[in-house]
This record gives sequence, C-alpha cells and structure tokens, in this order.
Amino acid sequence: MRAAKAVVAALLATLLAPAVASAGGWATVGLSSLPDGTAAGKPWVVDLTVLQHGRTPLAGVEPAVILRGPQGGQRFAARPTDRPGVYRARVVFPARGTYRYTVDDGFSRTHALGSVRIGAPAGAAAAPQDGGVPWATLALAALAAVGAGLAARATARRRTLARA
Amino acid sequence: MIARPALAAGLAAAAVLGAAALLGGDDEPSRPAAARPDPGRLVFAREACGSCHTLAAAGTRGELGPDLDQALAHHDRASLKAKILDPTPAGREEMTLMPEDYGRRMTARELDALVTYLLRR
Repeated sequence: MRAAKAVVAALLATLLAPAVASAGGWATVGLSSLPDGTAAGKPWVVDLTVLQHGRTPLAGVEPAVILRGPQGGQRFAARPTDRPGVYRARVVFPARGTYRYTVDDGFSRTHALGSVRIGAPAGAAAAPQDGGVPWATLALAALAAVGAGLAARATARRRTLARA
Repeated sequence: MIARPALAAGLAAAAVLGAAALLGGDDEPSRPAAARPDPGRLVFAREACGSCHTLAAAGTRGELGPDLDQALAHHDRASLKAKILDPTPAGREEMTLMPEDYGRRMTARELDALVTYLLRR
C-alpha cells in the first residue's frame, strides 16, 4: 500500500510541477533560524537544508539567500558545510527597513520564505542609518587608547621622579 | 626605537581590539533563541513547510501543497496533528507529495509548537 502511494506521489510530482520536473525534480529548503531580531549591518548566519523531493539531502548545488529591501535586491551565496545537503549563508541586511527573503535552492526554483523588519543596531536606535559601523569595537578601541595614554603618563612620571 | 610606553600602549590596544574581534565572531549559525521567534514558526521554517505551502502569517508562498490559509480552516488540533504525522492515512486515497516521516523529524514538543502556531495564525 505504501509503495503504491509512493508511486502515486512520484507521478503527482511530475504532473503538478512540469517545469521543475523537466529540470530534474524539486527540492525544499529549511532554515536553521529566522532573521527576526537581526540588526542592520549585523550578520544573520543561517544554515539551509536542501532536500530533494523533501526527503533526500541534496549535495553539489549552489543555493543562495536573496534579499529584497529598501535598497533593492542582494544575493548571498551559501557554502557547503560538512553535512550533506546543508549550506551556510552569511546574510547582512544593509540598512533598516522591511525585507523579503527568498532562497534560490540552486536546483529547481526560488522559495519565498518570509519577510522581516530590520531595526537599527542595539544602542544606536536614534542614530541615522550607519551602514554597519562597528560601534562596540570603536568604543573598546577608544577605551584602550585612554588606558594606554594614562599608562604612558604614569611611566613618564615615575621616570621623572627616579631622576630627581 | 619604540619607547616602552608607546609599545605598552600599542600592545594594550591590540589586545583589546583582538578580544573585541573574537567576541564579535560570526561564523557560527545564528542561534534561534537569540532572535526569540515563535517556536512553532521556527519549526515551520526548519522543516521547510513554506517551500510547499502558502501561509500569509509566515510570508511563504509555496505552491506544491495546499494553501494553508484555506486548508487550516478545516482542522482542529487533533486533525492537524494527524495530518502532519500521516498525510495519507490508510483507507483514504489522497494524493500528496508530503513526506510521511515528520513524526521522526520532530519531537512531540516541536509538533505541539507547530500546531499551536498554525492554528493561532
């Protein structure tokens, strides 16, 4: 009975999706995470699981995440991981705004998988769009510079006292 | 020759910047918990439901399977769970492309979360 159903399903696949059938089949794409909460300029690192006919891990394809947002479209290629059928993409939303994200499975078609509203980086809510300036790193660098300056001043003072 | 204070300052700055770079490493996949999406929506995305099904709440537009915005109106919790776990129950000759192994792919808790999300949409 199950075998008969499998045959019917295979026939149905061919009938329902002639375009993809002519390309060798169809695939599904699962996401390891959603971009909700990702800030502008910060990466959303997501694993794409590409399964042929929703079942079999599909190796050797070149999937990509495609964003469509306020600044037009952008494509982020995914790279294979050590797990068959699993590809990793590093997606960066360039600015605040609402984006639609789709995935080209690299095999049969593009999958519309959702939309997300991207906000400003944490701690920069009132700042203008910054294109991803690493504020935290800059702040740490500034602190380091201040600390270094104080250390240098203390050393110089010790030397002066030693000479005296 | 570099003066000692200047060398110390340079080393300190380099150490701090290096630590910042390490803490900011982003080659690992984003953790689902960090973004706190609805757990059922996350299962929906992970199990690739949107590749085949349209669901306005999720923003998906799959066309291989039934439009969930229409189909879910005919389900309650029990019937939806049953449909996910066994898309072609014995005795009913429905034609479907849906894999029949979601009971193995998901934990009971994940299935519960998915059903809750779908019925609450």
